[in-house]
Amino acid sequence: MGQLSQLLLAFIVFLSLYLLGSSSLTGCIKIVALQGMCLGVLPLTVRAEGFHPQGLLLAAGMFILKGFAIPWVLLYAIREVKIRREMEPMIGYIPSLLIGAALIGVSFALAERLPVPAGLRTSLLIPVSLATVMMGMLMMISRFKAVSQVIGYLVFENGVYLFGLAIAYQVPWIIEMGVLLDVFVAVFVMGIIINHIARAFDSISTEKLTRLSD
Amino acid sequence: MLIASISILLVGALVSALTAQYPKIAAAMSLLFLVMGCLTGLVAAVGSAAFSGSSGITAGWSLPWARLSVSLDGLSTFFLFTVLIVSLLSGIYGEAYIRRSEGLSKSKSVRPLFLILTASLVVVVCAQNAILFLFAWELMALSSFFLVIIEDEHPEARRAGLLYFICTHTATLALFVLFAILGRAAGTLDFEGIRAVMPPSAGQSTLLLLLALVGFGMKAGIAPFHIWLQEAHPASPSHVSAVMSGAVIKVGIYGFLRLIWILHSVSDVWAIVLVLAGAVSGVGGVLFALAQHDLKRLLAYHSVENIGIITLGLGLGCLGLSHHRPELALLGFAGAILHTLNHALFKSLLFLGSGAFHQALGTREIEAGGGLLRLMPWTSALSLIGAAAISGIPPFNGFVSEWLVYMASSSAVTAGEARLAAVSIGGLALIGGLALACFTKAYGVLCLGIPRTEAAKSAKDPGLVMTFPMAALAALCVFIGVWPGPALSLAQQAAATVCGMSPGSVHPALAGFLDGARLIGLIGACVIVIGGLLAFARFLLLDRRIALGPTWGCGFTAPTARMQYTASSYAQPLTRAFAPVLAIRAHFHAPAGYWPTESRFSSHADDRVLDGLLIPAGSATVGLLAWIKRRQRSRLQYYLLAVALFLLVLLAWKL
Repeated sequence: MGQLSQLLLAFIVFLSLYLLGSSSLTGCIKIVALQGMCLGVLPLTVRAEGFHPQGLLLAAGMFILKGFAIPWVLLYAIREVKIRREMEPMIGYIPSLLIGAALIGVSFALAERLPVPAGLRTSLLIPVSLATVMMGMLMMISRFKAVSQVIGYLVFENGVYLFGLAIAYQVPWIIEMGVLLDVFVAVFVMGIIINHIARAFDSISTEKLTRLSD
Repeated sequence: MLIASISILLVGALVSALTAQYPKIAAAMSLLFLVMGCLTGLVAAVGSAAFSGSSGITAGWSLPWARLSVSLDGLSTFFLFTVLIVSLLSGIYGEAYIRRSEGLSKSKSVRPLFLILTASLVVVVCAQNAILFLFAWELMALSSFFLVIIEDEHPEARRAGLLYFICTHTATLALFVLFAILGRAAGTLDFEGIRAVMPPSAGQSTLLLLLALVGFGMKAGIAPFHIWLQEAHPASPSHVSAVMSGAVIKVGIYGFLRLIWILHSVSDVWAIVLVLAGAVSGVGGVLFALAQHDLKRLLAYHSVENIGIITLGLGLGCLGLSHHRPELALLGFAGAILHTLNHALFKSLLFLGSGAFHQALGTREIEAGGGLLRLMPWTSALSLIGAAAISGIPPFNGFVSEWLVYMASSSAVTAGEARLAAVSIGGLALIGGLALACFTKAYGVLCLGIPRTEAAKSAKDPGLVMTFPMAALAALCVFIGVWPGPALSLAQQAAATVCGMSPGSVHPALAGFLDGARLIGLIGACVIVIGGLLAFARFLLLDRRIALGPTWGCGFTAPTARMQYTASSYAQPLTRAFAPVLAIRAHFHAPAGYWPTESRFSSHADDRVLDGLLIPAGSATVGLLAWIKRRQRSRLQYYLLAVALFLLVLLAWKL
């Protein structure tokens, strides 16, 4: 059980790194979907005491929402605005990868010093969640296309979810449902807004939005 | 009785607001309710003063920690007298003033607001619970704010209103913190309850002083928190200026006294800070008054000056408390409290007079007047009494209270605080002399000589309704000056309350000082009477002929009335002597050539704190922010980067 969860966590970090180095938007969305599915399965592997019906339900909800619903909204959005690639990232792909690797190192160093419950000291959960948060942020910082930023936001949120998983084993499931709903609504709104931005500006690059400021 | 008074005033506000469509009915109603409410309140105050029993009423309130609790002790009684007398007389004057003013007579809100202001003032000085106090305090601030901007067609009124609004809310914020600290220490917000667990530690006492200085000092107009006074007083209608100067700013002083009462004892820091602040406000106020040409602005600066004198008294009283010298504490506080009443009387008299002058001349510029002593004899004569009283000339009331503060200063010498005493005595002497110079300037230019403008030539006294309140205030000034006994014993009771002593032990402690005051007053009165008799004898000896003729104009053939001595030139030796403080800006367009056509001269004395410090600091801040805004690259990614870096640094720093 423990082995499986460590494996999943490593896979999640690997997916985040892959996202940083990938230029295809469709590919990115699919990767995020895969990451979401891993997250959905993860609670089942972490909890040693077995399967509660609530936990199963939550995992299923997470799995469907992050693995299918949100990616579908995003794919719909980029199909509508007809773009496939992030053309001009602020930080190139190779430097992004290197920074991402450095961030993983930083997050391991930070996790060493975080005051966490004793059982988690050896787990990968904390460093992975920190690394995912940081890489999500890096993605939001380094990309111009609105869709890439949404993807970055999703990665960021995945990291936050992982951290929540680490801190609170007994998170009341109503809160988790609230988080999920939040993310779904946020992505939904962003998808719609991306469409509108594209219609108004003939582009979804946020660079052009800066002209809106006074 | 107190509750009845407050209710009558509030009902009056409601009735006059409902009948605002019909100005005559509204005027009659608001006058009726104002007179009834104030008289009821005065009866309550007289009852409390005579029987010295606190007639307190307490009722529950749905707000947490709040109780509707009002009662009258010595301090509240005294301030209740002050507030009610000023509001009643200014309100009566206000009716006639509103009718004669074009802008105000159309306004529907001035009467209800005035009644609300009066009611809130009554509640503020009687409240025994911090929440009720703050509630009434805010009500007072808001109603006076709306009264300041009642003539909002003038940009200066809007500016003054905004400034007043900012200042009064800063003050309220400080008071919230103040009472939160006290309430946390005591677990209750009733004044009695807080008082039971005081005094505080030394550090806390200093913090409380700072908060009180911002909260109460801003309202009272202690320099450097006086910035709203010289803007708001000129902008508001004259009867409102009278109430604001006579009652509203006095509530700040009341707050200080009530806080000292709550705290039992104060540290030396209080005494030092208050004496210095008092000296600075006093001297600064009178100096800036000297440089003004606008009559009401000049009077506003004189309010700062008199608040300075009151603060000196407060500081000396605190010195007495901290050194355990009851007679010094009593003298200082009694001086401050009595001067509060006195200033309320003569300053509202002067503001009411300035309203009459303003309406007659159409401007507040004193250089537009001249010769009004003949044309407006009543207003001029009554204003003369006010001017003499504010300058501290015996036998008027200003002298009595300033005498008390002098006595407190000299008794502070024996308390081992010679430096503070020196500051206080020097400040008081300077203030007295400069105030006299300032009022001879204003009064001389306005009332003596010959009229300078057409408006001044046709100026007339206002009707009886406006003259009567001024006469009543002047009569009170003379009464307290000639026979200070009753007012003094009230002030002593109030001071005893502040010091936490029984009223009976006060009289013997102060008896000696009061005889001295009476003696000096008598001598001063004799000098004035002898001077008057000499002038009368000269008048008789000249066979009742006083010749009027043109001044020799050095051969100039076309003299005009504007060639008289002006206020600026009268004050110039003094303003030049204090030039580093005043920093007067002069615009001089000199005559040139053989046939000079046009020349101009004007001078302004900007407020050092507001125009010299706050406004430049504000515009510099705005400029800096605009510069940053131009420099920053407004892109979402940069913001995110900044957030991420900040978080990383925070994490690395804390872990």
